[in-house]
Amino acid sequence: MAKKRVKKEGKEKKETPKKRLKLRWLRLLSQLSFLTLFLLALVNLAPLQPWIIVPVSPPYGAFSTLQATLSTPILPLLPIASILLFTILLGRFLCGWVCPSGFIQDILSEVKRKHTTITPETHSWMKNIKYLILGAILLVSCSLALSLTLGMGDPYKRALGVFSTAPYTTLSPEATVFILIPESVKQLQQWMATSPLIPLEQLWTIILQIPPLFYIRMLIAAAFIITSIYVPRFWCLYVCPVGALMAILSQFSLLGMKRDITKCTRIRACVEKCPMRVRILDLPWEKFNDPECTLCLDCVDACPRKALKPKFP
Amino acid sequence: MERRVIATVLLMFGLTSLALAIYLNQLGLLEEITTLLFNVGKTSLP
Repeated sequence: MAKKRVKKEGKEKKETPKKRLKLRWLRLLSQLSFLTLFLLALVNLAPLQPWIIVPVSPPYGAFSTLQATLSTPILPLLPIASILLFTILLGRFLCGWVCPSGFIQDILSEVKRKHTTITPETHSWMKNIKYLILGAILLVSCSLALSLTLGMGDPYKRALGVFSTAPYTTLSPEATVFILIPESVKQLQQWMATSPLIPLEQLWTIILQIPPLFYIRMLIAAAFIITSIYVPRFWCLYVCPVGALMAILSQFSLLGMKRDITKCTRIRACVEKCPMRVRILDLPWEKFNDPECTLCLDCVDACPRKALKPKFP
Repeated sequence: MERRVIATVLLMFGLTSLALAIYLNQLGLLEEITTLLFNVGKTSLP
């Protein structure tokens, strides 16, 4: 009898890690598929290119489109519809399962086993930074749209320079990683093909000719990469204005999470696993929509008693 | 309950925006906007 019990326990122990890996692998597969689609669209290989960039990737694509449409100036009905419909129906699900920069951050966070811990006090004030960035971007874009509509916007647009079309996209690490770096490599290859050997003095002149914005963008992209290694989802937590916009709206999302209090033993495994630092145990158990929750379902995987599950509506 | 009401209002607003976008033929602008965004991505190239 005792032997049977030991055998049973052994079986249970063997089965648990498999089950835990399931959802995480499913999410990685989803993120990888969307990244592939996104990259195919960037190199013009995917059919219906704008349709993939804009509605399928609302965390980033729709926000960029929102800024660009405002600078035209046209009422950005389509990006508004995309952001509202996706976020109200699915919350920040797309941040966790679709966003390419979220996927890059998830991969980079695997580089280091032990991550840097940010104190709760620092975390609580730092997460407001993204709302400030969102406010600044919307202020610039909306004021430009208004001034252009009133026919007084041309000097303002000229003053804004490269930031007039899409202020966030101009500096965002996503645009640097997916557009600027591949384009720079392509340009460098073409240049090397025409003149493979150049004197050192000439090289220095060429480096000086590169606009400062290029270096600023590279620095931001480097910061994005380094911070993601040390703190999982650093960019999403503290910087991303798209995440901030979705965080505001996701509080009213129909998709949320539910904690079964009959199964929950409050061992805090979910809280410790959550990359977005959601205080799951302090939230209402019937249904919770925390602004930071990306519905990555890492908490579902982490809970040994399967007390957490998604709830809709 | 209150949240559900707000969610319904926002959903209706989103659907109206989508309908208006289709009616005003804004879908045709997408290609132009995407090109504009690609150019923004390449702005700082020397």
